[in-house]
Amino acid sequence: MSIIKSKKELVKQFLDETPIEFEYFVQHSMDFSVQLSSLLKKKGKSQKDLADILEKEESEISKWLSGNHNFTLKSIAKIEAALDQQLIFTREEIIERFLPFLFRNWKSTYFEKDNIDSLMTYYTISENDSNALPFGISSNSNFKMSSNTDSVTKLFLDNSENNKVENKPNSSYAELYLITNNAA
Amino acid sequence: MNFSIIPLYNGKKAKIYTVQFSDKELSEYEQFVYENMTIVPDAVRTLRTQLKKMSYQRGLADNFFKRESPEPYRVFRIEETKEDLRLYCIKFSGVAIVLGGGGIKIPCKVKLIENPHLNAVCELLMKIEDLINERILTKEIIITNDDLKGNLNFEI
Repeated sequence: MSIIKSKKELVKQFLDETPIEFEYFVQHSMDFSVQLSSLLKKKGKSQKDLADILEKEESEISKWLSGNHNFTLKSIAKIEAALDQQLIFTREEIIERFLPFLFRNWKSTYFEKDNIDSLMTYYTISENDSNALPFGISSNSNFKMSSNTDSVTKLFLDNSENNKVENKPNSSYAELYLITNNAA
Repeated sequence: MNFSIIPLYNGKKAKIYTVQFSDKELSEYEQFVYENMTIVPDAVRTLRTQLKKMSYQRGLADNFFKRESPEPYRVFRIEETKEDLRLYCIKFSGVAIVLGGGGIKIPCKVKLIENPHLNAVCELLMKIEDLINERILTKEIIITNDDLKGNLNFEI
């Protein structure tokens, strides 16, 4: 016996069956377009300015900012070159370049990652290089792992004994929360 | 025309509504999905995902919207750029949008008036905006910091 579905049910079924890849694609495209739009504002450039630099129509730039444009890596590189600013970063780049900044500026922050190994690698690499560490802390500073929930691991730099956090005289420690899928 | 403004996505970043006419089975957004889901399924799913992300994560950034109506009307479109699939909406002060219908733009027909099926959607939304604005003036509808509140049922 065949079941005749109503239009409403067909629409719901179609939307419910949206593959997860759409989530990733739209997220990336929206993030990139928001970043690009904000960078243009910061540099005092209009969409037309960017179009002129890249020898494109202004309408093309407008499409790029729509939030669902399928950029190629080559077109992203051209935009980055035109604006003299890197706009996308790999996870490793974020860890190496921005983690010290996060520690230096915020008492606590949230740092999304899908596993914790990369951060531990960062610390292992950095512990013998005091220049690379946040606040110029030495290798005997107390990085400690705290207790976890299923998805959040807290790593904190405890300065209660040695007062290593130069810019945070009133804080007892700096915290970094790692959102992980495979926390111990 | 009797219709209601009904919620579609109720995220923290933006509220998204659509229009439900009392004599129709599908809301205007559902009708848009139904009409296009077999022709350009990926484009429809992309726009659906974008709406969800705007509501729950990203908000209504200006660059996601292109103006379609003359001012002071606030009818905008969001579009899927590969297939040129367009979805029309009334955008209220960065916190809420009301979706109408839409469709695929005819190739090489740049102006809205050259795309009668899209022009009709845009004109309908301008009429609906007039009706909403009347209620905003009489405070039957209030735009709060994050929502449209009040009587969202229209009997004309």
